[in-house]
Amino acid sequence: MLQKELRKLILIFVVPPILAWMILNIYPMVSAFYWAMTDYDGVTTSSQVFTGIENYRLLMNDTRWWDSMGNTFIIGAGLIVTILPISLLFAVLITNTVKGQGFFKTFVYLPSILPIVITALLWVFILDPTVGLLGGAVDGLGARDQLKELLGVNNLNFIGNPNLARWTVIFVSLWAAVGGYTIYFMAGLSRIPTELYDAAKMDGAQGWPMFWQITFPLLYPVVQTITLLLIINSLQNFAFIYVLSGGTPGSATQVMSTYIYRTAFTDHRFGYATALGTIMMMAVLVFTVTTRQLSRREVIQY
Amino acid sequence: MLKKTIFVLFMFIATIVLLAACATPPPQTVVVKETVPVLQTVQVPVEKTVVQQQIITATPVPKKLIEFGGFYPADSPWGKSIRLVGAQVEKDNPQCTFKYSEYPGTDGATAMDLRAKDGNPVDVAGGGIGNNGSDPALIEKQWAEGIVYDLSKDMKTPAYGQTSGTWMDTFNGAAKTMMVTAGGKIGTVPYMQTQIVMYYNTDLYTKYNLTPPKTWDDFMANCDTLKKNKVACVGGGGFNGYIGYWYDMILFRLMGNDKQFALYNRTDPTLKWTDAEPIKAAQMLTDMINKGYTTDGFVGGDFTAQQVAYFTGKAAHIFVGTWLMGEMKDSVPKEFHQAVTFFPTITGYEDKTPYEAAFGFLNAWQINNTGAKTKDTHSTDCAVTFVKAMTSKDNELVMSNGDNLDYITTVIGGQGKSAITGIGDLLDKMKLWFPAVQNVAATSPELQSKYWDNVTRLASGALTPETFGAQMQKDWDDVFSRLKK
Amino acid sequence: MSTLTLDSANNLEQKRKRRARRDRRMRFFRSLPSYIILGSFCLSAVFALVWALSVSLRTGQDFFTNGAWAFPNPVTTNNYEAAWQQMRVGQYFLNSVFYSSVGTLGAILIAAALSYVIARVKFKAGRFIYFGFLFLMMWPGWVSLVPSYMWMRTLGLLDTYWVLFFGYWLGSLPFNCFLLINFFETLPMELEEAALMDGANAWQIYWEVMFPLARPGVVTIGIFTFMNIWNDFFSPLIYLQDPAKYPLALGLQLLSVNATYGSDHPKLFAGMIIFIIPILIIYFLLKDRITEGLTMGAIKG
Repeated sequence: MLQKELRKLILIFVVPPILAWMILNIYPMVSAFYWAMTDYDGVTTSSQVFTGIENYRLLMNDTRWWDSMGNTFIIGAGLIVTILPISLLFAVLITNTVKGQGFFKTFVYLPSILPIVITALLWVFILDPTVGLLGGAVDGLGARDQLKELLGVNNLNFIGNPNLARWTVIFVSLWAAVGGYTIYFMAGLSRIPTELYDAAKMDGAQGWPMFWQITFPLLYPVVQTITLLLIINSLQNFAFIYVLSGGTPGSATQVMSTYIYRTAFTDHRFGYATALGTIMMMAVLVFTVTTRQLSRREVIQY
Repeated sequence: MLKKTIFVLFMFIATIVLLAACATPPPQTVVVKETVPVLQTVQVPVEKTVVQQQIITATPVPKKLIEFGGFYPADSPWGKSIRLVGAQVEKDNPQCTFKYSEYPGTDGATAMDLRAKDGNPVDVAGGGIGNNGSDPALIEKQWAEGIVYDLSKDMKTPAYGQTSGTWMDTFNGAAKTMMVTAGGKIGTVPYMQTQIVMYYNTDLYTKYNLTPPKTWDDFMANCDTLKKNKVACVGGGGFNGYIGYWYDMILFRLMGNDKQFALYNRTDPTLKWTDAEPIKAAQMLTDMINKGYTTDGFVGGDFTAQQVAYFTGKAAHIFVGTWLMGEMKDSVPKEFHQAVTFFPTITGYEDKTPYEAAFGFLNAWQINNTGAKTKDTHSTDCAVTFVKAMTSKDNELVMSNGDNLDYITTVIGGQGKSAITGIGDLLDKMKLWFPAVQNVAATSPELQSKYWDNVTRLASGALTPETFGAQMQKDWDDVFSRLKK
Repeated sequence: MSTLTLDSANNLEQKRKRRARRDRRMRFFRSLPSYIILGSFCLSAVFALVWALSVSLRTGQDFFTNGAWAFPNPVTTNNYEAAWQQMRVGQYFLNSVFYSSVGTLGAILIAAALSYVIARVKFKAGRFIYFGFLFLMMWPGWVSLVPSYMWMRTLGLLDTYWVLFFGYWLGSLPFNCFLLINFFETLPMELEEAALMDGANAWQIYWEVMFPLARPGVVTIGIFTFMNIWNDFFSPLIYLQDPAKYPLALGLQLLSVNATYGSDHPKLFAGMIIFIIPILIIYFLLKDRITEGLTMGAIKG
């Protein structure tokens, strides 16, 4: 009957894409472990020598790699810690705003649909301390020295300053990403039945306590999923940092992904870069799983 | 259920790893297509009447081909000017005929190399930015394989259209230095150079009563005056290579050319980055930045914005390549005046290097020997004639005039109108020229990238001069230990 | 017995009105902070884009002489012409259109077909594939960056259109199928039974009955896929080498580090505006669909 008839579709609809996917993706995924143990430089066949765990030994001493790993987690943590509360806040505010809800929804999400390249370039030019909006404003107001004193820096180049660069990356990433996560949270919020709120109000609850007792616990699964998404996206963040720093991230914003890219395509060390990739994969997996375990809570049914 | 899945996955992965280890395919090289020849001349049989009313037809002269492998598209300004010279050479030398083939990018160089190995080389190759300087390894191999034609004898013959003097003497000091390789052989003919020069804003100089600095102390004094008047002394930077240029030049002044080359390329392992001069150079660079003489965006800012800072009078100097004016031609404010000068020397180290010294990149043509498949149809004589025509003073004047505002000639007196006032004279005076970054990228691209990385960290304050020296030495040890294999 | 006189009735009415007014005022003031917070964020978004537009309408001379904050004086559209022609933005634009349309078309056809079978047909591998997609959405892909490059090179796909297309068609599968599978599962089985009884074969059931019903879902993932491909910078960066094939995302990044045009900010900004205009148009016309799609994705996740 129906099932038997539809089974015929498997051959044409399922097998080709899955097969193609496997051919194109499984081989690289798995051969990575082989290539990580060679000294291949990407060009000359003679360098395809099997070197065993030599690459792994090298990376132990590679301070740049460990710095980039540290940066990845610092920037990642910074992103999670800022994006989650702010997008949740925005979601709550927008949901509770009657007038202009549509307007806010549209424009809060707008930065998220812009291509990463554009956002990064725009902010580079906005924040440029000499000829950008920042530089122009500061010179126009004559406040350059005052601002430097206020921030305790000796020049206003945020992207180039080893201490401020990470904050700049987090800030601009935040600006670009908030919209999307706000919409996610709004979806989650909309699923909470209003009867619960009404019941709570009858019992005299309002404002903050209501949020913590009712909204947040019910929203928790959504928060979990979004945190997961956030971790995966922010730890693998490449395009943004690459473009923000014009392709050569300074030492403070060098993350694992940009370092791997550079090692492979600028330094011509394919074998070593693959080894780094395997380490990155493991680090991200461990971090993701740990976070998931730590945030396990009873899912409240309603 | 879960355990079974994991087990299956594990077996699957293990199998594939084993398979992958056995069968790793070699990389394929990319082959670039050739373009249709652009200029062809037609054979016309000549008739001659003789007294006996016999019509004799002269046998057509076998024309030899000059095939040019060009980096730029045939109909680009470059391509067109090269083809024009080809047409001229054909006219002046009826036994030669010219053909332009497109070989863009690094893949183009590889493709031409493959052709040469196959016995079917192009006759003249080149035209890319620093194409020869950036891959000496390839050229070494090509010398070894007998692909490159040795021009040392031809250089002693007169230049194009001349009857006396030598071709070699038409070139300026920089070109002459870089042309000759080990053993006195000459494999490349430089036709254009890009120079890193110190530009300065002459309006600001007049306004604050400054004179172009000859020594570093003069330069610092100028910077001090400018700073007091709230003008940044130095613009540019941004891109870490540009910061690196400052370090290169300061170290060059302190160490001298030969020692610097030996340090960068480790031809003399006793020289270390922890020696006095590299650390002093680092110190001088950070001094300049810490005293506030550079624009805010000098370290880590967008380099294009920093160039704009120079042209808007927010910074008085910029130390960057001669390509600058070609880029900026539409945007430079009308009332902007500038001049160029050599980099200042350092007091106490004046004898290490001549004042008239600079570094940059050279673009050069390379002539190939004819191969097994081309020895009857191509001709190195024609190729040499063509390259002589390309580097004649007249042609260089044509190339460096008009729209090519960043074309800087290698031929004495061949500098046409340039947007950089005084660059021609500067180059004619030059006594010592070295390739940018002492060509360390040719030894290993990793060296250059790590070096620039460290210079940026030094400039941003993440490294002190001492830790910079230590880090450089560590990186050099690391890379060279792997290079030896 | 309670007596409600006309007076007291009026009084009560007035009190209610006053309380209502006070409530409204309080609500307004209570929502003032949210207006300020949300408003300033939205303002920053709009301002950034408007500034970019204004810079793109200025001449290089004007920008250099008058600084970043000044109004365009004179207003010029030359930058757009220059960007389109000399800076090859026109070519990049056409490439982007090509990749986005073909990529989206292929992606939705494949995704719809695959999702339908997985949703409706009971076969063991189905659940496996479903969980596979879930798993893949979270897999850190960097470990296979370099081997993938080498593999594509071996297969001869490097610097071709195919490598991008395969990437887009297959790479968007997890997310797209995820949405569509859930969508198909909500449709009633009766329609297919009915079609079967009318003598339709499998293909007809799918193409003429179920696929049209899936139109809303398909449109949503179509929009997402199109926008993602349009904005994609990474795949072209890794897999393409011929500048003639570059899409806008990559082309613009290269222009920004190309000393010739990077310094000419007005022209670069013109290129940027050209890049985002299609996206903005799609967004403003179809934003409801987009937020709907995101919402669906969030709920199912």
